[in-house]
Amino acid sequence: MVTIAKEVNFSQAEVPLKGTVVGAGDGHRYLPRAYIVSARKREAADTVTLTLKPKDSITDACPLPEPGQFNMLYVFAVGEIPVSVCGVESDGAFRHTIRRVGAVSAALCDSKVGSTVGVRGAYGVGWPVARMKQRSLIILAGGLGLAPLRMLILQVVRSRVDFADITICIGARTPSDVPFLREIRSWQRLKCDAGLFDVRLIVDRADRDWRGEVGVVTALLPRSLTAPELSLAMICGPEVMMRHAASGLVRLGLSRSDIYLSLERNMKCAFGQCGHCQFNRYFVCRDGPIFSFEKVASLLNVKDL
Amino acid sequence: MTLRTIDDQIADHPFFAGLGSDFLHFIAGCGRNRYVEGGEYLAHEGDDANAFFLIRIGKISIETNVPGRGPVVLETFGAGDIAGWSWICPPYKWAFDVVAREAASFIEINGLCLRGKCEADPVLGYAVLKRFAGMMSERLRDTRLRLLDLYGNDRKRS
Repeated sequence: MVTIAKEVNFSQAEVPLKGTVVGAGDGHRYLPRAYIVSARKREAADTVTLTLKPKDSITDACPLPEPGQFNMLYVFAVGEIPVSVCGVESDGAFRHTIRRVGAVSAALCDSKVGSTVGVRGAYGVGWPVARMKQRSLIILAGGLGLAPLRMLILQVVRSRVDFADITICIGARTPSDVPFLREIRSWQRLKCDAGLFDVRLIVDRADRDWRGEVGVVTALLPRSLTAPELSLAMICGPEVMMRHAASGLVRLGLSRSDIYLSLERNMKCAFGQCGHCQFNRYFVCRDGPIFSFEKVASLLNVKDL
Repeated sequence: MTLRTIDDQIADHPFFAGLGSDFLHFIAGCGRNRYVEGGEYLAHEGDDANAFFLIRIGKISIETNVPGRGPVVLETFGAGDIAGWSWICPPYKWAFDVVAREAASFIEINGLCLRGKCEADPVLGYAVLKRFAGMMSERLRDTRLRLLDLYGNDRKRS
């Protein structure tokens, strides 16, 4: 799969790149680098978070990603898949949360601490961090959609005073499927003088032991917004949920250009050359995975696209 | 401190936003303030459904008992939400239990009283029904989304 790198032109003009390069030049982005699994944490029955450290040295590491970007993770002799980066440690290690879906993700989920995987990246367009300052933020995550938003949320928590009201809505299937639960609880305990900081969690179904909310995640959206023109929304989760959430936000007065979604398609090369993730005039790997609703609203209802 | 009447409280509730003061007064005539502790039942499945609840503070849930599993929470509602529409349609029986998840304050509207007023004044009846139809439509959409089990791992192959 990685041999495709021989067939493409790596010029900056053709492949717009983002992120801070820690290591060598940009050709670097197209070759897997050896990373060691330094930690493995089980998030749910079929989901784990891997911490990956550069095997040799930080100078031989992939560029640091921006929130919303993804890496290609390569399990030797099995294959390669795109996985969003859910965190970067202070030592440059990446955190990736992976759900067991196919052969490669299963191999990643089963990888032992100390084993080696290949990493190349960071790829794609991330969340609109530059547009977020001084605005009210609505962050909505469904299921494992929280993983691509986690870096963004951590950044928002660190720089809380840079933003107005912050509403974070998180949905999951059942209480035992909630990813990053301990971290969510810590966000819920955060107190802040600078405007609203509301973190709400809801599950699709639960028994009585669950003291939280039960329902669909879109039910957590605010009933009204005092200044929708100053709000910015970031959504990640199943596409059906994102469509309904984005439509609900439009009804609340948000402009389509102020709503961002993270799309998922079958990505292979990760830099817009192979065409696997073509989405009408876009390549999800290169032009996304984060898109404004304005760009993709009309495409989301096209069947088989 | 000004004492807020039920008229005021109903007028402030999002469910009745935009309704004329005459209608609000009619509806308020069927209402009373209630407070319950967590764990208290507001309604039992199968009982006569003669009320609905405008939640002001706290959290309540719609539940049903599943043999072998015990009470299952179907949906929770909080401040600004409404619970109960069995009073509108025959056979006027509660379809599920309604339970306070925590201490809650709400306005209980007597469904028999409001049904009588709606029958007598079809304009009021239509205004009330439109609001309930909108709420039911939202709940049906949300329920359909949950039926999709979107977070389930249906792509799992191995």
